Amino acid sequence: MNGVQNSHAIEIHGLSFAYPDGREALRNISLNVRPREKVALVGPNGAGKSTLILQLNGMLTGTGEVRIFGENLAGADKKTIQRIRALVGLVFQDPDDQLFSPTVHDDVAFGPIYMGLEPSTVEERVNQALTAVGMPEYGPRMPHHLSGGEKRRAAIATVLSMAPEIIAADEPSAGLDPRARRGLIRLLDALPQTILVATHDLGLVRDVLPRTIIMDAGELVADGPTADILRDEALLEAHGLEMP
Amino acid sequence: MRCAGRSQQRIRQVQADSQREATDEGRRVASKRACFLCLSMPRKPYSQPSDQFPKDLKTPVASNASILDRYIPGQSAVHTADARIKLVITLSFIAALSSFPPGSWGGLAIMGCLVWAAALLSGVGPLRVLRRSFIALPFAAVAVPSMFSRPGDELFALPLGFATLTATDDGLLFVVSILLKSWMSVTAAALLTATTPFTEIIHALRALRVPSVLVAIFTFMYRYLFVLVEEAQRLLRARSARSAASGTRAGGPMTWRAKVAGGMAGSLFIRTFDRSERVYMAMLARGFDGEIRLPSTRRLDAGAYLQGAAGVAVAAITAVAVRFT
Repeated sequence: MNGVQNSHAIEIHGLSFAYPDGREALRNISLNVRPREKVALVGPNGAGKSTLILQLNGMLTGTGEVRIFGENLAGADKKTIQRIRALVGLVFQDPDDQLFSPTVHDDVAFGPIYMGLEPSTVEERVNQALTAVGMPEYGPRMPHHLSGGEKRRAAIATVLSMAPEIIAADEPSAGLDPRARRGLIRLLDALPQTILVATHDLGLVRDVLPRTIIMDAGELVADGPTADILRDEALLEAHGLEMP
Repeated sequence: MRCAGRSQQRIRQVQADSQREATDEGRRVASKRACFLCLSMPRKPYSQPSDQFPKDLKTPVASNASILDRYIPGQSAVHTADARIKLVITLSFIAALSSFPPGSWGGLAIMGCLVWAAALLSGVGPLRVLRRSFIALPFAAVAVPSMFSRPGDELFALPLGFATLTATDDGLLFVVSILLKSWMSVTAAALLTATTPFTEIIHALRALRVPSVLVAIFTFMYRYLFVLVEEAQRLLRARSARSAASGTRAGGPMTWRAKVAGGMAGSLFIRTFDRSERVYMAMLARGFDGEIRLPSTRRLDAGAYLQGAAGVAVAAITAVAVRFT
């Protein structure tokens, strides 16, 4: 794969973004993420976490530099963007948005089909992805018959099937009951990819994500080892967070 | 904890209200509303939302949209036949039926026997099939006026004051034929949807080379109908939960209630619109490039082809026989 040997999976430099209505969502963000690093993105509502995640594969583009394994998203042509989208799997906040096909199988197959893979490879990918999230027999099921936790895991399978290098998830544990949340934590922990999780769930952060980035009002306010950041009560409180 | 005096009276009223409400969708909400006022109120047992298919389609199902699911699981030969074959046979059956001229009772009898044989074979239950077969009958009622407009011998006359409607025997024949034909067509379609999961019907449409944009529209409609219904139910529940009655002027004036309903419809529209944006983003994020590509389908075996050919042949032969005898 192009540029995988580069030392950073995600390289963001001086990124700013404002929505069309003028609201500044990101202000001069710079950060690097190494391959296989697991990073938490925390901060109050409206801090810009989701916006930042949408920048990672060109869903939104601001001013500044976003590089995925060395490839610059700014000004990239359609082909490059498609390639980057195969590298960065986005798991959206509402699994009902992510699961748009009539069956779980078709949904998990969606990404691989658009990557132009052979039908047999597509099937292989679907099976692998569903097995990875512990739902191998869920292929023919319909998304609206799944529980919240199952939907969430199926949503993760839809990006795993694309064999991405990076997985960026937006509030994956929101609305899950404790058991489903536990399952999700185990799954995130077991995934070998580079993982970026925007979340309010500091318990999840403590258990799975060794590095934490705090955002507030579109700015990056802290970036460091999770253990240190979670110990800094004043910092957490200043940005509307609570100790787990 | 006990409530006394005035509030007791109020609670009785609320209780009466909640009993009335319990006949419609507000079962859980109503009991919660009563409990909110006084904890010693007798509670209705909290019914677990179930994923089971409701026995009676009119029963409100706490959980969501399973009423929209037409599929009734089973193991019969009708269930296990390939969806593509079933779809082709159903369509040719309906085409043959609609080719019948008025008054072809023999043909109608044959078709009726066939569709009901399949219905009995499926094990879905004749009553259920019968009930579903009447769904579209109101639409067939548009044929009724032709009872009076077609020329023929007079049967009876309806004086309306300014004009007199005269029913003719040809007209009656025509209307009865149309009603029977549409009823049987709907029965066949109802049987198809009862024995085939919708997802398989979608795959079948795709295999039959229905334009992929159309198939994609069906697919999204089916997927998000459930989400939309759940969203609407949440809105309704939120309204019911706050519409406690306290006295005689409960419910508010009509114009105000209309305004609330209008606001809800608008809010539902905006939520749906927002969702469509998010779904589109989710598709783009997984490489969607504007062209619709769908997973490939399984190959049919010879037996399935034979089944399909036999079904289409029966329909075609009946249609031809009815035409030329």
